Amino acid sequence: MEADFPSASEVEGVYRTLATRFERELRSASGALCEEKLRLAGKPVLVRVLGHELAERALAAFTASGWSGEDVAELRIDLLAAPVSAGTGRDRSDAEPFGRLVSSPSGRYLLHDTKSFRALLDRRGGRLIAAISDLDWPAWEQAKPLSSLLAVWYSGQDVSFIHAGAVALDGQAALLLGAGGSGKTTATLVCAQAGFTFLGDDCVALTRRPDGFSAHAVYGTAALEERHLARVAPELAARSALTTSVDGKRVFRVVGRSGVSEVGDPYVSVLLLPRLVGNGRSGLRPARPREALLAVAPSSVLGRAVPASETLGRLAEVAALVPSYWLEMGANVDELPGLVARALAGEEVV
Amino acid sequence: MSDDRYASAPEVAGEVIDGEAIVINLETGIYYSLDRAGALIWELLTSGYDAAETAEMLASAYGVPVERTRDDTVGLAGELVREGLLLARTDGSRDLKPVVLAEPARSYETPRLERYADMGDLFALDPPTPGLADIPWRLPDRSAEDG
Repeated sequence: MEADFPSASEVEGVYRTLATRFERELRSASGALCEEKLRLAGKPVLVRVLGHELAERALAAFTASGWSGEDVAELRIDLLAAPVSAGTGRDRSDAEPFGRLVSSPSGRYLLHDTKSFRALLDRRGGRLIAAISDLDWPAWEQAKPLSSLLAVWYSGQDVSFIHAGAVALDGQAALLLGAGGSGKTTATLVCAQAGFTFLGDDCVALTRRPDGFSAHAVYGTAALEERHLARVAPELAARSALTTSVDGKRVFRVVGRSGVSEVGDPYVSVLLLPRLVGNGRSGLRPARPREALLAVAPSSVLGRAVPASETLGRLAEVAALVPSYWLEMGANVDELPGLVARALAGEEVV
Repeated sequence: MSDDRYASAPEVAGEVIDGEAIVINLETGIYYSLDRAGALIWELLTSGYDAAETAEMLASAYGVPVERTRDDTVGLAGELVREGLLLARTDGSRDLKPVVLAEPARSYETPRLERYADMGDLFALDPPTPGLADIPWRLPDRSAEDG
């Protein structure tokens, strides 16, 4: 049975209904308001959450530094706990698991509607409002909250969300590219555990700068199969405040909201293409730009909330600009941080 | 038929990098790569050059007979149309974009279209959100907005 989602012509009305409800609850329960100023992927974002428990859960995944009171928020995110049928009164029980995106006819308003949360974006006004069910906020959404709508808004600010892992050292970032299961999470986590700055295990933001591109963390969470945790990131998983499971993977926080405040916006200086080589030795091998683009383009473009041509063009620019290497991952993952450091340092690789 | 002109299909994203092309069919999830001569053919055809002009520029760049590049151009264009990546242009307009022809790094080889259809497996692990295809990425002028 097909889920009953609002139609395109209803999206603006759903947005206004939810906005009105947020303002009403804000007036009646102002004591429960939690405000956070996040510099998220380079943009000042003001997050207002009604309810301390929701704020704790909703903000746990973000990695961002703060911003000063003199800046003006370019995006406002307003969250409240509410049954998600509140907007239309319709039954959500048959909603598709990952929900549905519905755009208003002009594209200004965008709805991401699921069984357990309803989020609406006013792209022109720079406001994202979400009603989140208290009970069953899915683990995949807790790990990377609001990622689809954030990716859409950021694409309009010339910031690309890409499907990649990233770590940084001394102001230089390595992007780890590949489809699910290629080893991105493992490589980023062992590097994070070895002291690298963790920028994400499968979602990072890219911005242009005069000499190339910067990488930005968006989420400080990672998702790894339970059976690999002890081998790959035992300390990180053990000290995480956020921990939940989805599809056999443990979702946990690698760095908190202040995790990247000291490192600035690292320059993307190398592309790494992880691939598993069984029991062989880990190593670096030069890769062609085309191989890097093939490793990242389909999974960053297909099925993602990004404008495909622009995103593909940006990825091609990055691949043409910086060296690419296969990161061959053998049985001993402890070798990986040294290899990534060598690639970041621009050491000659044969 | 070698004066046929083409444009990339609306649901297709393509980039040429380091002399090789990556082309993604956003509708089917199938993606493709083209090697050096193939990438040049893709770039020329999607930049407004007709098949005959493309074959001549290819022959000149590689120093091979135009008969050979013409057959290859027509053959590859047909394959790209069958895969839904190129559309034959029927209008009379002509919007040529400049293409820089670098000296080829290798000798001429008949172009080959590599096809990758593994996105189904990837989507099973990480499914796209339904409704993405209907998002207008360019916002209209304020006057045309809802309400």
